Amino acid sequence: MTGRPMAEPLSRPRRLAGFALAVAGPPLLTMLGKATGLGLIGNIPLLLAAVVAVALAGGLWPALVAAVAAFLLLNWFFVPPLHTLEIANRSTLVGLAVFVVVAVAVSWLVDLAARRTRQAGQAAAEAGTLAAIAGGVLRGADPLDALLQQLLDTFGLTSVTLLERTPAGWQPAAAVAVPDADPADSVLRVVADETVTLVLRGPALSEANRRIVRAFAAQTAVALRQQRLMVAAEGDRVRTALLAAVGHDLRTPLASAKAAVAGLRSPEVEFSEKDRAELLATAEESLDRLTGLVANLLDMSRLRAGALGITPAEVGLEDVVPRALDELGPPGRTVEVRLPDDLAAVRTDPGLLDRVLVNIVGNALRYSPPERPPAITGTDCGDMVELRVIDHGPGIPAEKWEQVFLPFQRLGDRNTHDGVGLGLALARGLAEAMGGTLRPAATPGGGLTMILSLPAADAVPTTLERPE
Amino acid sequence: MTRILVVDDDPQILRALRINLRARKYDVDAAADGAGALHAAAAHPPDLIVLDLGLPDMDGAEVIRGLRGWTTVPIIVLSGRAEGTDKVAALDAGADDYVTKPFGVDELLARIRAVSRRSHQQDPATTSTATVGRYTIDLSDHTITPDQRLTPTEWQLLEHLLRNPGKLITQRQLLQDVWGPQYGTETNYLRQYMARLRRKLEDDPTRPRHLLTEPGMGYRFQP
Repeated sequence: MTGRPMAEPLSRPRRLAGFALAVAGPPLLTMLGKATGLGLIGNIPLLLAAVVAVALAGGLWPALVAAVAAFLLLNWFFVPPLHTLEIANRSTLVGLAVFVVVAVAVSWLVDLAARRTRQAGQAAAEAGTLAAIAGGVLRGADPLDALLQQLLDTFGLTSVTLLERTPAGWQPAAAVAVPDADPADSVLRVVADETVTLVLRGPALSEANRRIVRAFAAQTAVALRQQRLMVAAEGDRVRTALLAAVGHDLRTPLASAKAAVAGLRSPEVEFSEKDRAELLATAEESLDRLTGLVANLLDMSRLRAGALGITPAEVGLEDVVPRALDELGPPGRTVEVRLPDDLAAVRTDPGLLDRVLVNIVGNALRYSPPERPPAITGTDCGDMVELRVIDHGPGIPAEKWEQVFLPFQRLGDRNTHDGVGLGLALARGLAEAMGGTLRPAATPGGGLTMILSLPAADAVPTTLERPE
Repeated sequence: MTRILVVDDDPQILRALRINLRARKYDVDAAADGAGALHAAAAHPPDLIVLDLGLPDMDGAEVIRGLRGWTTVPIIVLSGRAEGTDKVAALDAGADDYVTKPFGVDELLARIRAVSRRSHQQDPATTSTATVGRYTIDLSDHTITPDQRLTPTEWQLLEHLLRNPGKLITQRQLLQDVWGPQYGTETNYLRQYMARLRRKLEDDPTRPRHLLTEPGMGYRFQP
């Protein structure tokens, strides 16, 4: 990398140690030299060695201090006239001058070498981090979050937020954070490109680390775009599956209704009374199936488009449940209803709640063995009311529970009577739109229990007898 | 012969209703939009109006207000499920009942019979007995056979429903008639009293067959 500025000086503790050595080392060695009677010729290399040692320990500036101290000490103790700073002999002067030049040159070289070693180490670390980032983007299932998490971990940050420019201004597109952020943390904004900016919160970063963060930012912008493309591709896949499934499910009842009516209108055939009745029943049943399917599709598209009109009212579950069971025809009559008399009312849209119930109970009936029909129970849970639709069918393993709420997923074989796998997805969507939840649980003894939780109506005063 | 004005912008529905109603000896007029409906109702006053809410030229509630300015003719509203709030607005504007599309012809005919029976009975007191499940209720001397005791409020509520068999009575209407004019939103009273009536009179209170709730709208006595 070119144009790189000098690496930072050596660490502060190292420089302080260097200065201490520069002040203490030369006098100690001089005393040693005097005690052993080495003389000027012996002391010059000894002090030169001391200066080099200081340079290794503390870098250039302590070494210069040591060189000056060594020069003064040699001059004072070993150069005649002794105990003055005068130098009588010319050759001694040259010798001392060369000593100083060599000491300074060696110090400088040693310092430079130390800096280069540090730079190489830093560059290797940067290269390692960048390689990890690039690998993360290429490999990861969700590279964006992984990138942000890595940034957080690598630099000990408290939060990393990815902002994206939208028509409504800058919006957070992804974020990671550690639980307790220090409000005194510094904030750094790193612009990745014209639509993506990273905001880092945490300890201040050195210039070298900022460089890495800028590389990070560019990678997150790539990852964000990649994620958007994957979402779009997934949407296309769902739409294609919807069209195929809806095409099939609409066409089947249409075909049977059309065949039945066309047959009845045919002038060539004379049907018996029984056959006429059967053909007409076929047409009506097919149209009922179409009606249910179209209702689900319309609700689903309204839900997706956010165009669902919700008119909440205070509704008693004891009123809505029987109506939903009626809609399910003869099988609905087998469902066992166990709602407590004092069950709180719920605040919800009665029409939508009916759709939710028809879909959940219809699903429970579909998977129930004929001799054990589903049951419906209700419980007050604080400010929510829980309705449980309990079946004793084959059940679903817990790890597949979430799958049943995806459109067009039905576990096991599909058969044409089941229709598009839209029911539970729609039921959950509608339940959530009404401020409730829909979640599965295992029925004790086998089977699936769907728990519909809805907001309870406001606390009601005790019953009021009509004023006389 | 009873004359029914059917208002719908869909020619297939008009045709199906005309054939079905004529087969049951009703006289049928048809209109395809709100203005046509108001005009037809003025030119040949009908005995009952079946009105689709999704008309091309005006809001269904507007048509009802236009009619209610000069006639009390019974009005049954046809609405798609998407128009849930419009349905409430139509009832508030003066419609007598509603049927949700897609509807069964039997259901519509039952509604037609219920509202026209009411409009022919100028004196509601003439209906003095009614049957709910295994109970026979005599409204004139307040007795039930086999014996079953009701509180005065329960009687009032039951009487309102039984005197209008098959007809939807809105929550507001029941609250104001039974509890008093200052009431209108205390739907929890209705809920509790209806639950009590069902426990006392229905064979299976969890599956009522006669004292029915139209959630969010009102109540109906189904004979």
